Amino acid sequence: MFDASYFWLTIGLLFLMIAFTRALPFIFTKTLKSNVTLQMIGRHLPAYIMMLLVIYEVGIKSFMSPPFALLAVIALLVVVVIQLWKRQLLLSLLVGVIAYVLINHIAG
Amino acid sequence: MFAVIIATVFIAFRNAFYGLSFLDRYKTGWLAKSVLVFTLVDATYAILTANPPKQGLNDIKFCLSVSLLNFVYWVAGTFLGAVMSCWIPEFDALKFVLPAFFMTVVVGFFLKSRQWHAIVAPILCMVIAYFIWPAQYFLLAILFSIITIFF
Repeated sequence: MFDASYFWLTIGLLFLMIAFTRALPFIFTKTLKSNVTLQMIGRHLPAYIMMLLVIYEVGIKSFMSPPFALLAVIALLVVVVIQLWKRQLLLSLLVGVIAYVLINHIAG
Repeated sequence: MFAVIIATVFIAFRNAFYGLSFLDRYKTGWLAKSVLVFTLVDATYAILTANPPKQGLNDIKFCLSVSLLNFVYWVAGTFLGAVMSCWIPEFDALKFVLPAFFMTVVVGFFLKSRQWHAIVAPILCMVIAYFIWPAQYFLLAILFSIITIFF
């Protein structure tokens, strides 16, 4: 049975937890700023996280068993080539998605 | 309920690492700052870190518009999708837009730093993290990546 108070309590707690985790580094701004190591992490981490996000969004499970997300990897390589060639974000995305559809279609 | 909250905290905890890159950048009033902090999602993080402010310049307005637009698109898109799910056919190809976008950001970072390390290390971290802790591999992979930064 659907329990409304249970539902709202869960939503409320989730909001608080998400807000808290996002605010965490800003709560300790002064301490974190004076730490050289953490500054270095803050500067370098974005590049690493972007690559993690690529794998995360394709889906790690598809990398773990044959054909190891081969179709998505080929489509990603198309994106890289177009981006290196034209440096046009929307063009890269458009061609990438079309390539993804075509590759999936050809591979069945 | 407890299980849901724990799982969410682990997923949301990666956002705590996102904030590390903006400690200096978000210099503004408490209201604007709260908005910036709470709307810092994956795609916003990608756009903002890929477009750093010019030396010594304050680009809070840019940050705010990117954050708010992303947030509105996201909430409105999810809402519309949920309401109209009966009428919209499933369009499988659209799920490739997000990884493709992050890939272009990876290219941008590589052109700036010319470091293969930032591309190879995360892939290895992700695979190892998935074998160790499949349920929360993303957070674990971030921690591993942080360690590899020092090598």
